[in-house]
Amino acid sequence: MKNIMLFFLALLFSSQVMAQQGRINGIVIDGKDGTPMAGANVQIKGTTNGAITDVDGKFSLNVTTDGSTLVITSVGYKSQSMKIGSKRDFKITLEENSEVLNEVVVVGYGTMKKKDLTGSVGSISGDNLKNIPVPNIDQALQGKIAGVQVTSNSGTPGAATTIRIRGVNSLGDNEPLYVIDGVQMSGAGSEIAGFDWAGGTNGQNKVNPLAAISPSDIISIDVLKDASACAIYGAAGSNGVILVTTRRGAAGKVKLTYDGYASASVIPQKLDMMNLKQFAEYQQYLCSDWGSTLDDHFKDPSLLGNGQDWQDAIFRTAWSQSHNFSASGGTDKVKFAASAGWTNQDGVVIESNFNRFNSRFNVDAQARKWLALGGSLAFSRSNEKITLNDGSDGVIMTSLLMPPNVPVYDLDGNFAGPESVQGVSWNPVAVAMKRDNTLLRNRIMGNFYASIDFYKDLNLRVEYNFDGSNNTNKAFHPTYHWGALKNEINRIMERSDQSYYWNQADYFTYKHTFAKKHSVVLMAGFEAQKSTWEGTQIVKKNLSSDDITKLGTDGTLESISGWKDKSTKASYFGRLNYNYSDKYYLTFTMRRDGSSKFGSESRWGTFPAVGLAWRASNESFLRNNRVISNLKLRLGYGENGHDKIDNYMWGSSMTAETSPWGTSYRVSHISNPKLKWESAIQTDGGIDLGLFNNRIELTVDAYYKTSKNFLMQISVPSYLGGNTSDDIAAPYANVGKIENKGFDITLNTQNIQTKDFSWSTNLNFSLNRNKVKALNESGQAFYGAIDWYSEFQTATITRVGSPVGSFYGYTTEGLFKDKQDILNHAVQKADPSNSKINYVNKTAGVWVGDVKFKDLNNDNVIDTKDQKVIGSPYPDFTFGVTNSFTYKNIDLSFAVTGSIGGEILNFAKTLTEGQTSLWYNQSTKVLNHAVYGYTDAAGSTTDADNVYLANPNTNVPRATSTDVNRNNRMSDRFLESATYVRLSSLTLGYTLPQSFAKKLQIERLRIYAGAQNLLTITGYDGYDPEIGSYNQSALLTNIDRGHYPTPRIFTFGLNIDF
Amino acid sequence: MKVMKKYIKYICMVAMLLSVSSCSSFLDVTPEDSRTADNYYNSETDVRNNTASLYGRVWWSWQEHAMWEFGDIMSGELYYTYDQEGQFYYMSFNSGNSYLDSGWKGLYRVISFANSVISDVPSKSSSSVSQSVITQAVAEARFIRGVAYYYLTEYWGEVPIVTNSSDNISNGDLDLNKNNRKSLYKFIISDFTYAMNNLPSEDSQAGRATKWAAEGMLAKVYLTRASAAMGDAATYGDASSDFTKAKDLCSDVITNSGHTLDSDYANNFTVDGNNNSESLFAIQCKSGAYELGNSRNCNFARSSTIADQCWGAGKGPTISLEKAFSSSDNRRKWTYMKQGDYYSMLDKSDGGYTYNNLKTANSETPSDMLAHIKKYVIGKASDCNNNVGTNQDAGNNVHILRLSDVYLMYAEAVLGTSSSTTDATALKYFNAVHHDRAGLTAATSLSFTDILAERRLEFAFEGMRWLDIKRYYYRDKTDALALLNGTGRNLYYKLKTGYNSALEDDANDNSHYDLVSNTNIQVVISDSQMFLPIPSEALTSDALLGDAAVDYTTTE
Repeated sequence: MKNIMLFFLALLFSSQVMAQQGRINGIVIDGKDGTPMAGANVQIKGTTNGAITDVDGKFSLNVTTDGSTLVITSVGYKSQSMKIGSKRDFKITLEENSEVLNEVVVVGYGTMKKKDLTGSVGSISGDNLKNIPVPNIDQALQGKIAGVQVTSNSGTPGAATTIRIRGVNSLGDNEPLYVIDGVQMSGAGSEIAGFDWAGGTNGQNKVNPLAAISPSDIISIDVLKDASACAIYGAAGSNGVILVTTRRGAAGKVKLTYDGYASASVIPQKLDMMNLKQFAEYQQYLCSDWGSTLDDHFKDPSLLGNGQDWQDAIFRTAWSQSHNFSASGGTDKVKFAASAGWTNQDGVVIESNFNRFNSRFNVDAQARKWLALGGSLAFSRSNEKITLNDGSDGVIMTSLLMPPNVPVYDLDGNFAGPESVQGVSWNPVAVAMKRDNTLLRNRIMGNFYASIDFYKDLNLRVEYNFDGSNNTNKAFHPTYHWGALKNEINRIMERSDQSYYWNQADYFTYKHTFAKKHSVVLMAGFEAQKSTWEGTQIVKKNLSSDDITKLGTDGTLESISGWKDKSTKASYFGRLNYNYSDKYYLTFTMRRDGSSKFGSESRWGTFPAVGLAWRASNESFLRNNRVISNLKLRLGYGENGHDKIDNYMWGSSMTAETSPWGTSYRVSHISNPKLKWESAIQTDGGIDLGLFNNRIELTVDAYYKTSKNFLMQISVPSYLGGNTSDDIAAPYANVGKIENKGFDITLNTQNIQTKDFSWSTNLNFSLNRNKVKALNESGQAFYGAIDWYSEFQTATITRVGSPVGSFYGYTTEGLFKDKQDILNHAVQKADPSNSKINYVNKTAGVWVGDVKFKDLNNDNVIDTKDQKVIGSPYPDFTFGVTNSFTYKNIDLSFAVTGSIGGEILNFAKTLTEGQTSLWYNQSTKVLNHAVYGYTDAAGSTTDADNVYLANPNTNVPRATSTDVNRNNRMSDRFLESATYVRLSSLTLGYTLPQSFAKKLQIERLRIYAGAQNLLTITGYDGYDPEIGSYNQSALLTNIDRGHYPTPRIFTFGLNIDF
Repeated sequence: MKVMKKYIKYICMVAMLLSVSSCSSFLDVTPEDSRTADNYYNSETDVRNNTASLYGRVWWSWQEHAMWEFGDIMSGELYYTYDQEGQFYYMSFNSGNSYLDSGWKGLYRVISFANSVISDVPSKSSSSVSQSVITQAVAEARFIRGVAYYYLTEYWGEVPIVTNSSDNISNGDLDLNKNNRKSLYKFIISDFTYAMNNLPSEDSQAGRATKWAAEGMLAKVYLTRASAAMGDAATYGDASSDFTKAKDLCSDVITNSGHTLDSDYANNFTVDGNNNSESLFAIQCKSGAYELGNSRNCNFARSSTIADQCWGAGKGPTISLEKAFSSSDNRRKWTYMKQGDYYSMLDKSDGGYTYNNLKTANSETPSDMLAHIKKYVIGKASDCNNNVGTNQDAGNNVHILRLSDVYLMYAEAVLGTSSSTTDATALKYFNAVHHDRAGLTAATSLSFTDILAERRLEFAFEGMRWLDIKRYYYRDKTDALALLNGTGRNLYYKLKTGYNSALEDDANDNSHYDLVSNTNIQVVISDSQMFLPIPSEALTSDALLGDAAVDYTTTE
């Protein structure tokens, strides 16, 4: 930091013009806050005689004639001019030219004035981001931009989010393209090794790709939503593009800022699980019903207390803090912005943590009149500790299932565990603390550019952008003896990977206005991109001690694997913007991309787009209209593409495997040389309306989008091959067609604007309808499977006529009440001696209290044909409302977000309400399970004639260890409404009065306190209705499998400008 | 502007330099970390390394669970009542059972690997690969495919025949009908016949398919089809001609192969016994990683005293199987363990392992059967030179065909359709197992049930019982169902009142237990359960699988 400052000061002094005789003196003041302004340009009109203000805002200048005019300019401020006359001392105040700053939108390979846009672009400024302190920028977008749905996939710090711009566009990768100061970056999360290398489930193994970037560096985010806006990114743009611009320096006094906060996070709620007493009573019931031996501990529940609360054991109040410093400033010739920050975020589940150091340096220099040079360099280092979640053996799921009679620690202070290996429920505290999984990421991103003005209308920009990362993922699986669960072999895993991406783009921009009315901007260029990546993963076992946490000579080698690959892309692109008299606008964009992901037959793709706009408010009949200050109609049409698959999927590589006789090779997948671009065609119509001098701004867009030819591994019946790494996998092909249509509405209003009080509202509303229009030829479907659970191998279906990843299963219709009820119902388990009727049998058939499934096809048999689409993971609509108030020095804002409609598959319930195991704790809902009544109390409990359902109003089936009736199969029993409305943020801030701040030698100080996710109104039974997608997969959306909930966060923060 | 012009050339040059030429080679990217299929098959070694993929890992999903759950639990030999595995014991499984799914997928995976060899090796091999190498590779693959189809046919009855999935996929021919058993037998016989005619008698890499393995498996299919023909000659043809073919094939293996029975029965189930002279074909296992080894050491071992990974506490021989062993049968101790048995090769660090119903120090508690499984259990890594890993990966092979099987098949083939036989050669081979090996009184006459009983003891826990009962079922439905329903799945041992289950002295005397019946358990096996249901996942993805099976019309 200090060095940067010195460097800047040196630059400043070197450019200072020395004072001469007959001079005038002055000071330039920043009209925004009344502080001296450095770097402002002071010039005698019509001469080269000028000066630049110093750090104190002062200048001095030699003048020859009193009749001259002084012109004072600074970028971002309205220029001022004044006659010198006899005056020798000047005090000049420059007013901010906010209109110019706010209205520029980054559109990719250039910027445009917002008023000139023909496409659909949503923007959010850095100031708006400051109110919601979050570690990663994608979270900040939540609920802010119409048409952009942001869902957190996990509450774990550093987790990837799911971002859908105008719905699910693909069956494969759906994440948008990010362009951060020119560096293109996929939103698809990077992968870590996860947990399954040491057995069990994997948990979510995608981590946030944007974790390297500090939100406080960002001054604006522009989201390109429709095809005519995205087309300039051609093949990478079909999921939408998010352009992130970081702070650049402005000429003037060096601005120093500090943004910091500390916060505490807690889980939104606990789930009601049985306490020890309830569990003991439940055990008594199970043992007597199943004929199992009751554990002595449970014989007298009245003696028991609440037992161990396992949720309390794994959740905590988690503290976080973040500090960011920045400096920016410069002269007319050289501007810089530098920042550094540190963030440490603890997760609400013990041991989870995210920690980041970030730094960034941007510099722009006007080297010659015709040449500008500059660049940026950002380095970040993040370290995260990941706990196993989203899996049946994850920390959250096992904390729910762990019986309350097991303590966290035994009497000797060691981790305890269940006394039977049958239960196979780990001590989740032990898992969280001992099964380490850490990820260290070093990332350096940057760019360099040269911008050459050949003459005033023609500019060439040459740029080189790069992104290099170096990640180390380490995990340890210790030896343990937790109750009856024992592991005598420890394992260590280390995975390191490196990647480097560069792109090099050169483009010409020609701007000219002909005859004062025909304004033309023509841009054309080309670009080359290359990504290379490689990595190694090593697993060793049998280390002599659990204290060894570094791969070394200790232990024996278990496995080693490595990978290396690259991909390239070459592109030509161009854009024509034409407007006539600021009334009629035309944008034509064309991009041609070649990708190494495809064979030579189908390597190149062309992506054209056109946008039209009519600015009616500039027509004479509306000009000077008192009500309508802005009215623009827009129409856009275009095609985008997508090539996000692994390399060489069009051919077939040979997979190496260990065989009895050394390494064997087999075909990895079936090849398909015809593989080509995925594409999306979108039509967008929009209206921008500004009323009452733009105090009310309304933007409405309607769109219709069809995407097709998805790069998918085709779905084939299991007898033709699978799609796991163990299979000779099905080929990748261009499959299917999806339609998305909907509305985005944004309404900004300045409700009240007085000297002391202001109130503004931002409302955004998104409605999207998604439907699969076609799949591969034979009308196949794609299924989403939940791990290996056989009843959930087809938990979601993607087929023609339904939304992508719809929930698929059986429909329930209550519980069986008695024998006759079972015999009257369609066959769920056939009687061995008569396949036309149900087998009424307590252990091997259907019984009183089992779930009735609906016979949809009326063939009197409940089989796979009785499944249907029983729900959709997508909301009917989502909205966000932000209200901001200021009263004198106090500011208050709150945001409400809502997601209405759609379903969640609460998979966790199959375990917490499954009632098939003696060893799992259960939800208190299970206390209301089906209970048998006996006509003859002394009669047989296995004679169906004697048994009836004693509590016919319950919807919880009977407990059964065999579940022959498959009560726990995929059915609407586990679906719940996903609707929620949430007070997502509430912030109260106070800015110190300037006079007081001055005394503290600071310009501005704001303190604020806030809360995120303070209140959620939902009917959902799990922790949190915001589920997202499992590893960002569109086919596995809104499935709660022991989800790490989004926490409730209380924040205290400071913004200081020095 | 003047200044500018001076620089224009220079600037353009820099721009050109910076921009990467978009020549097409920039976009040509082939994998750097693996070989590609189109230029892989360049030498005999390449081809052999391709066929090596057919013998081990590819079998995992089948051998890990389904093979013994279907073969041994379902037939009432292996006691295990927990969760989805227990559904095979109670015959309460449905099309949603996980193991049904993994077994099905596992066998079709084997078939897809074999099909890839059968189609790629002849078409993609470079000219430097000799025809004989290509032919052998195809023969090995067809042998493997035959084995997988044999299991599919016997367990599911009717399944689709797939010979080239990549053709099916590129032609959009995804939904297939089931083929009937008649076609399946014919298809399997044609695979094994090709294999028999084109495989060597011996391979330098022990464990690969040989002519003898093919003959043995072919004999088994003939025996199976002959049994089916006894029940339904109209569909399956002449039983006696198939019996004769089976007999001749067995005879050829027994007299000409040079293979012999291992004098030490137990050796067959150890790492040292891998590919011994008795082994004709086995899934080749290795320790070292998940999916590479034999899962049974982990799945069958009762406690962590005898294995690093153990899920076998609740598993054991059923009472019926226990009682089927005569106390003088040499094989009993190597099949299951009971009170007082001593094993020097287990728990070596403690001087060997003595089985006790209850041993508190080892966290070992009595099982409902008062016994646990020994076969295939080889101990901890330290007991067997680290040939056991902790990913269910023991290094002892999983048998598919042992020579003793061929001996007993010979007797079954000679018996043919008759009710009994006293054929001297048949008796000789039968007694080689029954008397010479097991130490039981030599038989003088054989009926089908005599042979079945012998097979039960010889191959207990080898995933074969259900297949054997299947041949019985084809011959005589009523008796076979009676046999299956007579295994007493409701029986278990319970400590008599007056004894303390926590005291080793009380719990370790088997006379303190009563054999009791759990009246809750009523298992009735009927005709409809003799074939497994197609997994719901497969049915959901292909509607045609629910239709009636069709004839397979081969283009060969």
